Amino acid sequence: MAPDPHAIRAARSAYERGRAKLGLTHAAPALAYTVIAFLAGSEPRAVWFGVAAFVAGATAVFAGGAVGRAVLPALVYGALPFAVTHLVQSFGHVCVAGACMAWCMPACAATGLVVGVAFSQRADRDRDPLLFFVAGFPLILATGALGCRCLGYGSVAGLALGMLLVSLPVVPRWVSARGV
Amino acid sequence: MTLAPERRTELNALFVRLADGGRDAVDPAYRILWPALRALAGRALGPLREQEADDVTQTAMLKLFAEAHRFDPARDAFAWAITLTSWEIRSAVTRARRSRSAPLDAAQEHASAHSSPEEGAIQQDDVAQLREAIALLSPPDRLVIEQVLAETHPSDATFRKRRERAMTRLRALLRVVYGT
Repeated sequence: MAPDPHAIRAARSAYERGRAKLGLTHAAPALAYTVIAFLAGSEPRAVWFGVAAFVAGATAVFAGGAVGRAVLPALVYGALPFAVTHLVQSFGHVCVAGACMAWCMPACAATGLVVGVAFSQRADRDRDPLLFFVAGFPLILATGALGCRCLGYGSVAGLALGMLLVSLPVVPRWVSARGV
Repeated sequence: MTLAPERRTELNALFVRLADGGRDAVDPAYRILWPALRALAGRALGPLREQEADDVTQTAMLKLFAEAHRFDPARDAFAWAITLTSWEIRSAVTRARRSRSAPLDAAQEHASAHSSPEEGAIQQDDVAQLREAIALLSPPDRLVIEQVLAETHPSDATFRKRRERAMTRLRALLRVVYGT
């Protein structure tokens, strides 16, 4: 009546297959963003951000833990910079008192701030907020970069800075909670 | 087929780990579940289908571990495992019932091939009556008849006695219900 080792090995394989399927499903939004960005006229090089987000996301979910838990929320929160920047790109420039500037850069920085606050709060609810945030941050960045490339890497940096600016104050608390 | 409360708690904790990607929980969870689920399958399928009970249990286990990432910590892992195994048992019983009726189908086809359309219709009617009468028998008698039809019965004296009794009851049933 005792289970034989082959049966346990088969159960382990079934478990791994289940996790792989979960990884592909949870990371799928990254591919959807890529397709939308491509159809919306993003430059072909931007596709690599989407592919990188998909591969990293699927691998993280497969691995599990806080890193895996962060993937889906990160891809959901990444929708904000992605959508906003695609929207403002069609607005072109704004000129006030003779000085003109593109909407893209302020939009990237502003959504960075908003997403930074929201994702920090989401990370705060996780068992391991620090790892959750560290894992989700590059995914949000990659998703946002599909839209925030309007002014080159500068706007991606704007998004990253916006996020870091609002989340840095809580990092020491997460670090101490982790006992690092 | 019960599990001690502390084992149940342990199993729930293991499934929480599995849902989060804890691969080291596969082995202990399997070892806790196997005896209980195997006993359930063994009892449901009967002593003549020991090998099938092993297969059914293993299939249920594979499905359970493939879906382990879906485990909801608010629910009971053991109850979930029982539900999944019960489904597998039901499928096995249905499969077996279908395959047992196959010899009767084959006999019907054979008879139909060598008869006129009128004779064929009569034979079909007879087979349908026979099938209905078998279905009305008690489960032990039905099992005996099905084993005889499938030619998978033992050849010992005990079985011959059981077959004789089952056939007598089947004939009586045919006489009473169909007047044949």
